[in-house]
Amino acid sequence: MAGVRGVLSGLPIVAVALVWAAAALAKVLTTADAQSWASEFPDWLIGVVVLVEASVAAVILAGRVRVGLSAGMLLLLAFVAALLLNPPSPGQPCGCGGAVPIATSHADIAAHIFALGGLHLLAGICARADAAPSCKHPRFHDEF
Amino acid sequence: MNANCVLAVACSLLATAASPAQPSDPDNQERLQQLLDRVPLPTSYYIESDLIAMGGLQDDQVTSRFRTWIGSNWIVSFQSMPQPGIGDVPKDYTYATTDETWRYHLDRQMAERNEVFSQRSRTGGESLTSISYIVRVLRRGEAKVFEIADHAEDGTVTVSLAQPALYLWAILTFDTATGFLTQVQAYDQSGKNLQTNDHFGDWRFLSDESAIPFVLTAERYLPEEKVEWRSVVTKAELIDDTPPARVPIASNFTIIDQIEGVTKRADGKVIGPIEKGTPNSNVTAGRPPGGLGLSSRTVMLIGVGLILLAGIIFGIRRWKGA
Repeated sequence: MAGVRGVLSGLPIVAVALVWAAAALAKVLTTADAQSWASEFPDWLIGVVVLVEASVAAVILAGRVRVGLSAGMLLLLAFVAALLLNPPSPGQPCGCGGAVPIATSHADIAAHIFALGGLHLLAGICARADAAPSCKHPRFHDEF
Repeated sequence: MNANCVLAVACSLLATAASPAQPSDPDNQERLQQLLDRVPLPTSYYIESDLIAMGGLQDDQVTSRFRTWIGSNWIVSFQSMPQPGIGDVPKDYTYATTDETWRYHLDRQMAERNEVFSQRSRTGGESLTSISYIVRVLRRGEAKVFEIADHAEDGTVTVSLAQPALYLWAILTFDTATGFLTQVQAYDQSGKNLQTNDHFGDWRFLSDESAIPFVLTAERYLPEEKVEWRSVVTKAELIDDTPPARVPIASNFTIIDQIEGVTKRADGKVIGPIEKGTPNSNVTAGRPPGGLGLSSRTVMLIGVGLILLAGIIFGIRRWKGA
């Protein structure tokens, strides 16, 4: 029973890692539409973002969950800051997942940030150092 | 429009919805042409305008600047986008005449050549800067005019019509006294769902008694949200009805030539045939490309659910620990 709970409670953490890994992979394998918001940034910056996203995923999967989640939250905040400093045009697709159409409107972008923030929060609760056994996934237990 | 006007328009839409293939009444077509003739737009003019977002993350910010030369049967437009700390970055250049239409995508070293303007009498981005395209297209006389109604109470004339190059179904409002075109409401084919609602205001007269609207306010009803913007003319002047020379294409550009059916370099050297299915971007897409399938509302609800779950787990842990 404890094993099942452990696996279930570890899902949000794995999900966060997979989301960042997928975001990085999509940017590597596909090219964002030239009209997208992401394409307004220089290639080197997109490269840095890909590297950070992949690192967040790798760090979490390597067991350094709190470090990875903190970095993920910072990345989300950086994304929000970029949106505020250089807002997309009305109807302009995000291009955040390369050519994969993740968000195609302001409402889409806001909803995805909100949901991803919620996922980080849930994963963070599950990964707290003082967490009850039900919130500790065996794989990530070593860190604490 | 007042309530009676709305009722009259709704009735006319319901009546015509029952027979969408109903031929246009010749009298209505003639009346429409008279109304178009009364719109005092100049034959050819130059404007500078700012496209300003309304609502959303970019509320009240200039998202694009346009320099547009408009003639009786041609249009030349240059679009740039203001970028923080950089200034105006060139984005798009359109050169459209009855012979050929060019569109340079300045941010991706690519150009397209086709005959969109000669076929449709408009270009994709024209609606962001002026209303001349509406009059130009409707003057072709191909619109199916369903009803023209006079509204003495508010001094307007409304025309419900369909013109495939413009609207599946639309209601145009003209000011009876001035002849100004003041509003266009476009619906989907059923005539029930409003898709765009454009207002043309602040009409100002130019030196030859012609006039143009200095403020164009647009509402676009997308599946998930309403997008609004306004275009404000900052400079307007009359010009000769001769298009300026087309800007030479840069040597590093690739040209998709829809007329010749080939892709070629700027020096004219053919790279190969155009791949089947290459979209023609001079035709405006009515809506942005779709997402992964989950609506923003669903994604937002997932976020709320995750946060609630986090709160519940946190609460249970606190309770057990207490």
